[in-house]
Amino acid sequence: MKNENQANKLTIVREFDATIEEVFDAFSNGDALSQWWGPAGFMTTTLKFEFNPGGIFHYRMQQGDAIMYAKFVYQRIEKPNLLEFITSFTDEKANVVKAPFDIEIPKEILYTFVFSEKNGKTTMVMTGNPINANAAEAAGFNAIEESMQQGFGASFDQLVVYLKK
Amino acid sequence: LRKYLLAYIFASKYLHNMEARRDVFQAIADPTRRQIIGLVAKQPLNLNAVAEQFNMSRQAVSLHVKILEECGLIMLRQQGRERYCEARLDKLSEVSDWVDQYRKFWNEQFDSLDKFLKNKKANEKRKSGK
Repeated sequence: MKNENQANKLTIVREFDATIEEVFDAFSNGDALSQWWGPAGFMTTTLKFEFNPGGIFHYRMQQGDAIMYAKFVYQRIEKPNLLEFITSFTDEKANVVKAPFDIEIPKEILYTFVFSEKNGKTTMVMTGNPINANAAEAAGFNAIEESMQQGFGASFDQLVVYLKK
Repeated sequence: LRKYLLAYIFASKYLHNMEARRDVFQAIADPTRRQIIGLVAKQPLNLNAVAEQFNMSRQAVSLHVKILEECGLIMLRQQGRERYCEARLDKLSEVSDWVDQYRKFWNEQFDSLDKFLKNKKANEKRKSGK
């Protein structure tokens, strides 16, 4: 039987053609972050940027009338190898709020980034885990096994169609 | 992501009946039920075959199957003398959607980071070339 803890996390591995310092800097430098971070199509504005454990990166995303706020709360920072922060949607005062869409998702997700460099290229391993989630929210996050995923790749588009009915 | 965020906003404004969705989440909150779904997602199995996979009584497994059936995640079909469990993946997609969205979202962010790092490198080369 499959191990419960296998493959049930949100994990992304990427390699960047840059040194570990450059990659870490892209996360830890407010200017750099504002150049690459933020959902496509949304104008992202930094409201607060405190890069230290317990500090926050608070930002606004805007597209037309749709405005959302979100933040990172930095946890462990071990330059240039490790970075941890908790993400959540917030109000304009950086208080954690439920996600601004009516779908049950964890309010807060802890992301861990581990960086390592080899031959001038940097490998990043990102893992995301819900925290303080109720059982249902956590289940939604953890329950997805690849064996199940095969069956419903394009399902979100179907949901959109369904919602328009 | 834009498309998805808009869909979410759309959903929050226009979709009022979220009860069915909550049921799905509750159904999969239990690890045994998640394993049952994982088993029958690959192929329909009769109740005995499902029960054999677990270190618990057949009755306990049946109860989990019943809950999954009530939530619409699996369908029970009588075939001869056996009852077969079939996964209803369309229901499950309601759960997977946003996990997939997060994955997509981050991959887009990393594409953007990759571009940023490449531009930076190109700019530095240009400067040092002067």
